[in-house]
Amino acid sequence: MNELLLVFATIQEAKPFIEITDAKSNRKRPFIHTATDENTSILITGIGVFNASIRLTEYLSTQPLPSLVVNVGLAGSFGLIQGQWYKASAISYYDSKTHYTDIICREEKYAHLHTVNTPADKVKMAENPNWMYDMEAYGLFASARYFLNHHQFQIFKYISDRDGTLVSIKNSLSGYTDLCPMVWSGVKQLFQKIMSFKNDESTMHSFRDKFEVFCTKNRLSFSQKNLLMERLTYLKNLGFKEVVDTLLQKSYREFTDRDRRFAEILNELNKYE
Amino acid sequence: MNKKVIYIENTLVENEYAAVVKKIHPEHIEFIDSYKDVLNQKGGNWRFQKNYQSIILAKRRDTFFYKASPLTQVIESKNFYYNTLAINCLFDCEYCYLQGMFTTPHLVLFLNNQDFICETRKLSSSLGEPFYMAISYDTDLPALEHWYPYCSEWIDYAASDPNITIEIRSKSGLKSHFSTKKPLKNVILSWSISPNEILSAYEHSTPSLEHRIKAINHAISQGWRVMLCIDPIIKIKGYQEIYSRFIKYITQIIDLKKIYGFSIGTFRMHTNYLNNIRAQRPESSLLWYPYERNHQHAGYPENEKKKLIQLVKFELEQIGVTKIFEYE
Ligand code: SF4
Repeated sequence: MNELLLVFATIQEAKPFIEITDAKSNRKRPFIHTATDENTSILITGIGVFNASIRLTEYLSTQPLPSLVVNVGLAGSFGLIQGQWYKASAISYYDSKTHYTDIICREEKYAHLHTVNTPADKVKMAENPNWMYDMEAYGLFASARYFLNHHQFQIFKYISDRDGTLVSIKNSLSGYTDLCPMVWSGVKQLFQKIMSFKNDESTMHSFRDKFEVFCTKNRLSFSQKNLLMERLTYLKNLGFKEVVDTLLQKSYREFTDRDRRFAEILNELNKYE
Repeated sequence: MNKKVIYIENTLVENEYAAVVKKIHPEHIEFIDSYKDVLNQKGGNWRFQKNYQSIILAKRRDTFFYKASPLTQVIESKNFYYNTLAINCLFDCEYCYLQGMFTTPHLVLFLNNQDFICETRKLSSSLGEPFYMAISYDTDLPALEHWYPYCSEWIDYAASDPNITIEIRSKSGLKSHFSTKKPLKNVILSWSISPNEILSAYEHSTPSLEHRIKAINHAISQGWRVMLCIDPIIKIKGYQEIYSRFIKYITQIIDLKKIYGFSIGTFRMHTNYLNNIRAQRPESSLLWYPYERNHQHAGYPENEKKKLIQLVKFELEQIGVTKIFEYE
């Protein structure tokens, strides 16, 4: 059960979170770490938009889907406050379609995040001084969108530098590490929000699963299935959940003719409307 | 509502949006090419986003009004128009078609209201006869008045154009959009009202019936033309009793002799919208009712529809209401 996935470009960015969550690396796949509570995983993608996209796609298509993916890391900005954390309000990548994130945190600061292929220098960053620049976010978003809803992908960036030089970035790491526990508590709060919403959805999923089994078992046609879905959901929502559950456990295969079978099912339901 | 980040179209210049931004006071502004980039973004969860609804400030470039569609009401005028000065709503009615019309619930405010008025003025001179314009369409306009004075500007316009009759429909309990103005014959203030049983079950985050009634009585006392809308009438358990009790109740607290008219209709919706909304609201008994589908419109079967309409109509006629506009 890896419900929360934290994604980093480098081990340096991931390290404070590996420590906080007491995560252990996977022997066969060292870029994946699993926390001791087994609820949180850490993925290190490597630098750059393509590495990010490939590693995350691979992860999401082979592992159980997490409820929340959070990218945490460093970003440069000419005008934003250095040493401050920001959440991405939008993610852009050259001429690609900009993605506008769901704004769900009331406590954090927000800024536009632009992903670049090569480190952005002072001149590049000065073009849009209030933007953040990184090298992975758009690639991560491009993968996540195929698997998850928008609100299940979030980004926290620490403003590390305003010139893109390696020295500045390295110098910022201790400040970044100091603030990671604070970000971790923000991530956990976010996770709670997402989970409380997801719990509402999972009730519906279990109903849908039972419904699918019932329709296959009773060999209902496509249109019969649609009609039945409407009637059963209506009844369930009116408060006849037990009636619906009982019906979904029954078999009507004693009626060999499909239309007859369906008529019997509807007859049963008519009693309650 | 999320006021931390707002979106502003690049085509708006600062003095067009500055006043609104000052009122919203966001921490961050995202500048965008078109409101559609955010409003129509796919891949989000409508219901989740409704909890964090954002505001988009935009400029309408074309289509400043529409001729009425078959689902809109037939009022006295044969020239029925509506416009969309804003898109989406602060409230969250379970039966609202807006949930199925746009992929996100974000609120779009068109700040070039004067362009809408200007185009309507042209329409008025080209028609050369009375016409009806519903201006609180695809939104609840009075609820947005504190950000932009839409109603106020339209009431001013109506004062200068005797051909137009504007209707401002709302569920809000606010009075600010009319109380400082002189009542006009060609402005109809209409309120949607429902029995408390319907209101509490399906009209989420809307003002209470008492609030709406206070605003209604205030408008009546000032001499405004007031229309009451019992629409959509919804078939819930014990609906006969619920609606007749409701109509008796409003008779006691609103001077119905002074009401311009009633507009009534049952639940109806475009089938595409209904399908979209059902996916978002799997727990709704209202939306999952086995409606009849005809010509892409879902609604109660004809006999049930008639029953519901007759019930409300009968109760209204009993108390002497004669002007009843019925949804066709
Ligand atoms: S008040 Fe009107 S526009 Fe707003 S949600 Fe309700 S039905 Fe929709």
